[in-house]
Amino acid sequence: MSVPASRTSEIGRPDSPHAPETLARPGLGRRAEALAIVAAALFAIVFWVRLPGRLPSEADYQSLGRAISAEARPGDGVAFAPAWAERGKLFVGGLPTVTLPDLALEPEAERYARLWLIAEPDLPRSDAAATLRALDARLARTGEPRRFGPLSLSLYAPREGRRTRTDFVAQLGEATVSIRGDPPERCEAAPDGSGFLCPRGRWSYVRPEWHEFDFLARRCLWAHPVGPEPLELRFPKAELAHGFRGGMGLVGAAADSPNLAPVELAFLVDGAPAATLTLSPGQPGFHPFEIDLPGLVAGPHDVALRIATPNPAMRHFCFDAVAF
Amino acid sequence: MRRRVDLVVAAALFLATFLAMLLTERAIGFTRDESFYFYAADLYTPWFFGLWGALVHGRLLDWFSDANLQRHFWYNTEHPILMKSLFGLSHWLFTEKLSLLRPAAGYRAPAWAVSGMISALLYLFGLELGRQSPEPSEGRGRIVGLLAAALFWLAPRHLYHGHLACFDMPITGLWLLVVYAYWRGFSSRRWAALSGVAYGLALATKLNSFFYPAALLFHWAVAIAPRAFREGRWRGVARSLPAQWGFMAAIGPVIFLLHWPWLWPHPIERIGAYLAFHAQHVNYPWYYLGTLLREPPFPLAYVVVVTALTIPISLFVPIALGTLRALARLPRRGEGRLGSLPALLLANGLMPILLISWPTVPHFGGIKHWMPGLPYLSLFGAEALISAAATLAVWLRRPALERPLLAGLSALCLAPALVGCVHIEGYGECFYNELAGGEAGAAQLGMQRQYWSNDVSGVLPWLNENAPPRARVYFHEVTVGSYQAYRLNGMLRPDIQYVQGPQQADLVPYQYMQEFRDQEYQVWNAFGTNRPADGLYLDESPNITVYRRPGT
Repeated sequence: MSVPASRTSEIGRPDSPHAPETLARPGLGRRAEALAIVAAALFAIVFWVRLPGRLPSEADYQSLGRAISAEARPGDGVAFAPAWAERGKLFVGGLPTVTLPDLALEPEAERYARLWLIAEPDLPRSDAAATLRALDARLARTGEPRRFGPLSLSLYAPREGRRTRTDFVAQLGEATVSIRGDPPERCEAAPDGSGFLCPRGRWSYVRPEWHEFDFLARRCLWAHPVGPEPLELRFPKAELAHGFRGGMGLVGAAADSPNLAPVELAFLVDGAPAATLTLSPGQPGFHPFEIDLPGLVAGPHDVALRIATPNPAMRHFCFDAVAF
Repeated sequence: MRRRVDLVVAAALFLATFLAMLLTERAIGFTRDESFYFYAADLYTPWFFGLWGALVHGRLLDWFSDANLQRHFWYNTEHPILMKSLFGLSHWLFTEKLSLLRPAAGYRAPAWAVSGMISALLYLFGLELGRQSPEPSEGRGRIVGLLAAALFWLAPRHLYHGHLACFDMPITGLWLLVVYAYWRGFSSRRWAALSGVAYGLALATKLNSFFYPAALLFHWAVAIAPRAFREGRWRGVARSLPAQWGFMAAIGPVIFLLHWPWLWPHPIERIGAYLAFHAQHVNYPWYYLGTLLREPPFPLAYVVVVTALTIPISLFVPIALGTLRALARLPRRGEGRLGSLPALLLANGLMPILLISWPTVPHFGGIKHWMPGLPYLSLFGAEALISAAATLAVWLRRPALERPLLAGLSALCLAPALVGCVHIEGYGECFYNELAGGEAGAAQLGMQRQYWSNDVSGVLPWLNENAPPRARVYFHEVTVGSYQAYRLNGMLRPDIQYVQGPQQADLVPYQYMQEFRDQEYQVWNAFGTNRPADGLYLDESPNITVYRRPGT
């Protein structure tokens, strides 16, 4: 198909309904359309050109993993930002990991003696920069973030007075567990060392487990109350200075029902009641708490955690607690 | 002469598309539905092969008995059997007899043929658009057709669906065939009759075809009937009723009934059961902008938003602009049969989108349920590109540069989409565009990352290399049929065993889906660790995470 060079070619002839209205000056709408198409194409090209530099390579992760393993200490934990970008789990050895959004608002941020944050601020739509800022405000950062390609590695620690002194989940093996009935019933240590088996049925045990609350993973102590007789976890020499913090919730559909019984979580320090929390029926989700105990002498204390309910039906209770 | 050239080009497009599917299909794992259709295909085909034997041995009545029909067609009666039968016959021919294709490819090949047909039909539709423009131009039509095919297939999710032994791309293609025959039927009795045949094939492919004639009705009501009324009042309107409707109404149901022997003994009851299945279809949970949609009403903007986030933005913008412009022109262009092609294309492009946008219609399956509208909208996208090039040429006062500008602009728009197709490899159903921020951006936005279980193919090499002998693997969302297909196609070690849950498993490739989050945590509890051993990470977004029981 040959077209005289002096005219608009056949494909865009001006009197075509598809063509610009005039040769001299296309309408604003036409020009805007053309510019929008060009802009979209350029935007796409820039995106694809930039993308490889925003994604870490295997080598970046390995370098980061080597750095962490060389400097890690017992009690360290690892978190990710964005929280869903958890590929780093493959490279951090046996360190416990946290994958919670809004990490700075979580008790989990202060759980570990030191928290490594693997951040990917360059990912498209990444919220890592905001997470870093929020953690900077809540925790004490050690040094400047290090870069491993697009990966950023920061090290945090709890601020003064916020350090975890007893982790009741991690240190469950130091507890004695019983049902405080008359007479008390002792829960025996599970043969695999995972927790304690109580004598009220298959559901009656205390063990650290992961459960889903609002789609997020929470590691908590499954502690299904058996009724008004409290299920007691006693830590005779728990290090304690300022109080307790953690979270609690009911697992699964049981949480939604407003007709079931409330669950109480009571804290006793040296035999005296220190605080009681109540999880009312129909409160799904994981509910953080923090209990300040002013005037406490820092040091080992006899701490008992008691879980009770007027009616144990479907009270799939799970809680996380540390002393600080 | 030109016509022959165009047929050659259409055939070349068919072949190129088919070959593209053939050469890239290995990258795509097996979807849950494919595993059902592989099995159904294997059940159905012996009935067809047995037909001759029954005839020769005088057992024809037995062969058509309800008991025998039930024996062969009892499975997957929620879908008609045209494509499943073709999958089976193709597998028999290309895999079992000729050993030309691996087993999965044998089943998938008919879907590739339909994909090829889509390319060819888009080209032919482009020609029609060129012919129907006020100054007929075959050159323009050819460019429209070629660009439309490129715009459609360079959307990674379309490309993905084009590979599968499922019904979504086949119904897209067969409805396109219906519309093409319908359009040609306005000027050809033969094509009018063919529209009835095509409609029968569409009915025999998927349920969508029950709804889409509404688009043809709309086209007639908007583009044909008003003028007919002005010219001949009600008699004119009656005369303007397309003959194609008669053929579609007469031939379509007959083909539908004839193609599905299972219906024959109890047609009303069984067609009723088929329709009832879909009328009561469950609402699968679906993750959308950080909310897990479980029940209607679903957001009205869902389809538009998901389309805007999943078609490469350099394709989406021309498609959207071209569609809007066509919509704006509808009142002045949609008069008379021959001037009404844009109206016909618009109606068919928008019908699936409007249908799925209805808040009570189940929302799942990514874009596949409104994908049948995209070929038509791609034609408008092609027109928008041509128009933009012409505008730029005039704006720059360089009319002679229009063609180079069109070539450049097309390359500018198509190249990033092609990069996207290559980047996402065989996981096309996970693709999110530049506006979303790719897969990483979509994960941050809280969008569904995957849904059909085929991404597990990304960790099979690791499993093959690292799983202990006779390892017990809980494959999560992967069906037994898909597991067997992976073994049969040499993608999974034959000693690896399929178990039903993490408690019995040594390894678990967990598939990230928001509604299954608790299942991942059950794996952690069962294995005593939340540390993965491997995974499939698409732009850092974990899609498949492999867990290994410590000590195995």
